[in-house]
Amino acid sequence: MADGQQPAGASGPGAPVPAESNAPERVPATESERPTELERVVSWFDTRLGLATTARVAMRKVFPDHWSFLLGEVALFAFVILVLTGTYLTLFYTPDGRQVTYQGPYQTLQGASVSAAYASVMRLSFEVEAGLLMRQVHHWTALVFLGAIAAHLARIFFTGAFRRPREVNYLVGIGLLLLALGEGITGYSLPDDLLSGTGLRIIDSVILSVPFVGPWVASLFFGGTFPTVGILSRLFVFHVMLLPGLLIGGVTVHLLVLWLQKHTQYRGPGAREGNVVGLPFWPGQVFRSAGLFFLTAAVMTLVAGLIQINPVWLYGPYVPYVATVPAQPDWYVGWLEGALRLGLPIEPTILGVTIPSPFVPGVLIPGILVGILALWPFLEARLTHDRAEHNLLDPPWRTPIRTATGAAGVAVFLLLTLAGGNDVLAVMLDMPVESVTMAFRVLLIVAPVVTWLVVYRMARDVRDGYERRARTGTKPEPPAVLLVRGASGGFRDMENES
Amino acid sequence: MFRLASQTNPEMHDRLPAPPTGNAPAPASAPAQRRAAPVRRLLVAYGSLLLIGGLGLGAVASVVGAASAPLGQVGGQAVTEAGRGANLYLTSCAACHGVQGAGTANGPDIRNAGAALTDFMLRTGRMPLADPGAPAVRGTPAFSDADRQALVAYVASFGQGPAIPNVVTSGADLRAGLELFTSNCAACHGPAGGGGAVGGGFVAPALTQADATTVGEAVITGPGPMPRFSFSPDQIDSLAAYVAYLRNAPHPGGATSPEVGPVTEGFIAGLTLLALLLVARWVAVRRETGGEPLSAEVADDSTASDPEGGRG
Repeated sequence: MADGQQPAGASGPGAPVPAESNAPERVPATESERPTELERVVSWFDTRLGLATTARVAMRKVFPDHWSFLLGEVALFAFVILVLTGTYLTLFYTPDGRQVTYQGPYQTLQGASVSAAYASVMRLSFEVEAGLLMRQVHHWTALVFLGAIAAHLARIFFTGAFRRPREVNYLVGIGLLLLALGEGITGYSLPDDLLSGTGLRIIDSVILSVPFVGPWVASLFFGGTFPTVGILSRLFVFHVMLLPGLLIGGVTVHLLVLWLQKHTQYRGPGAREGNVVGLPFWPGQVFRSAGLFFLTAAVMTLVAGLIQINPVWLYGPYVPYVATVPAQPDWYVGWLEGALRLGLPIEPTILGVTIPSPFVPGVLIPGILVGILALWPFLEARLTHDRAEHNLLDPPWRTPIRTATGAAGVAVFLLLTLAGGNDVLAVMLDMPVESVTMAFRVLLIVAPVVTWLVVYRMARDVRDGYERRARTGTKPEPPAVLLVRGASGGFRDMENES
Repeated sequence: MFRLASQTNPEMHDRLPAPPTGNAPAPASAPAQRRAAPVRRLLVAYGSLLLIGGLGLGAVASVVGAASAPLGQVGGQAVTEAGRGANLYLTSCAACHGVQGAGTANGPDIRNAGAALTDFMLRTGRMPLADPGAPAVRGTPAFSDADRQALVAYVASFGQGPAIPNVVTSGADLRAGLELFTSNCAACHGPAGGGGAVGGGFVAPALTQADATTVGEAVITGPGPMPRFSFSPDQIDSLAAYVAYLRNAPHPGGATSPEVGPVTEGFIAGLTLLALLLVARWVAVRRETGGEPLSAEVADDSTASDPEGGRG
């Protein structure tokens, strides 16, 4: 309906078009151009809602070509899969910590005293049609969801897409990351198996370690002293209502701001600060995005159908005095676990206040790291005095300091995550776990500095090479150095001679 | 209190305190003994004489031994079971654990190890060590069943130690086994028996190869840093049955490994994400770099710096 009225590329009115301006479209058609059924239906809605102009603009939204712009879409599609499978799981899960006797078909546990929540997860896994598949798709997709967010964040960070005017949307994105982490932690805790209960106990200890307010906050969150029967229903409300609601709202804001501000883009043919080169949403990107959605769902279903995850029947029900190894959180919480494992066993008393040992590695350091990440756009603007708008992205080598800082941050994150599995690594490396821990403590100090220096040098050299060539107008250097060996046996560099 | 393992001849224990050089009648397992390889017999004879008689005598005797290959020293007749155990002990164990298991600087006192711990160490190939500093980890057993039984009987004769438990897994209570396992074993050996690090350089081994008798022996003796558990025979039966169950447990969720846990899952999730990035790369538009973009596929879109233009 709308497409025919305004040829592509023509500049239309910027402000929303009043309904009256659509009047020409409702002129009775002549015999030869009678409107089709579709057009009549669309027209019916348009005359009441007046969305044609908005829809037309939305259809024209241009998406850059580069594949790294699809990372956020992978995260979005993973979230859609999580909502769909999670809804199915919610139909069968009981957020109840009271003890019942297990009577299901898993014979090894028959007659065991388990929580109603654990029993419902067992029923979901062994009795509900496709329940185990849905559980596994949900869990595998959760792991990939956080990974896709991290990859998306890395693309945004290393190309400078967070610069003015996109600082606000960057903060929205960081908020979405934290919400997704919250979803992961609460979801991990719901089955009430041995691992999830152990995780809750650690969370309880970390909250308790906060000076002054810790015990009150923990009591408020758990509804008493850990372990509490009521915690599961609280986590359930967080996991299926509050956090997903905030996530959906946040994603909407994220996309709306993206749409209003338009995409950034890499430098390339035709790309300017004032335009976006790529495919329009319709009839281009929509097919790629739909394809990516279905392929994402296919890959996740394939993995979940073939590889077992979180076998709660092997872990057994949570009993507060029982533990198991290897006891790790899901990977995206591994950096917090690693910080706790590397934390020093010291509890200093400052001005009469004893600081419990989990506080520094479990609260303070993660808070500082997340704070730096969230405030980076503002820190960078302050450091570089660059407060101009940027819609063209930087390749990482153009900004050595940003790239080096980001790489050092990635090194810290990777080291902490690996340290969260120090016992597993100790077995793999055939080393005492204490030596592995000590090695990680040293690496945590050394590696970020070395990473920063190495990456900074590399990026600066590449940048200087490009700038020198741009200045002198020489062509890019060949990938090899041409050497000629003379009669005396020495080598000569052909490039520098000519 | 524990039922004796079927592999061990119960009567043997009664005779065991007999000195290694005793001339007792040939035991019931003599046919098995005759099957022992001549090479081993040679080695045993050589080693034992070396240790007993001292270097000079041993050098002479080894020539004799090599010539006629009798086990023991008297008239070429079959040596006793206890004597065989003693010979094996002197060859393979005494260098570190000392004569009569009293221990040396290189090895602990094993006088009260008993049949259970000795059998555990030999059955799983942890002993003998290649050198005194090597870790005692599962390996290929160095002795045949008959040799092991002789050795175990001999070591058990040193003092008071637990006998080999007779573990019967058929008809055992799996649920009791699961509860015992998660409460007492999973903290070190993992929920699926995959093993794990326990600190101090020690590793709780994977239980994927542990047979029922081995499980029972480990539980009542506590080898290495493992604690000793005073479980009833029924509890040990359940536990061993659950360990056996773990080995063959159905995995309704698909492929898995004994080292089940979020670390493995995290690595697999990373690979999955990598696959999705390749998918995204494949889905995305690829243009020849350097050339002008295809005009049909290009749309110009104004950006925030040019908010009013180009929205048509």
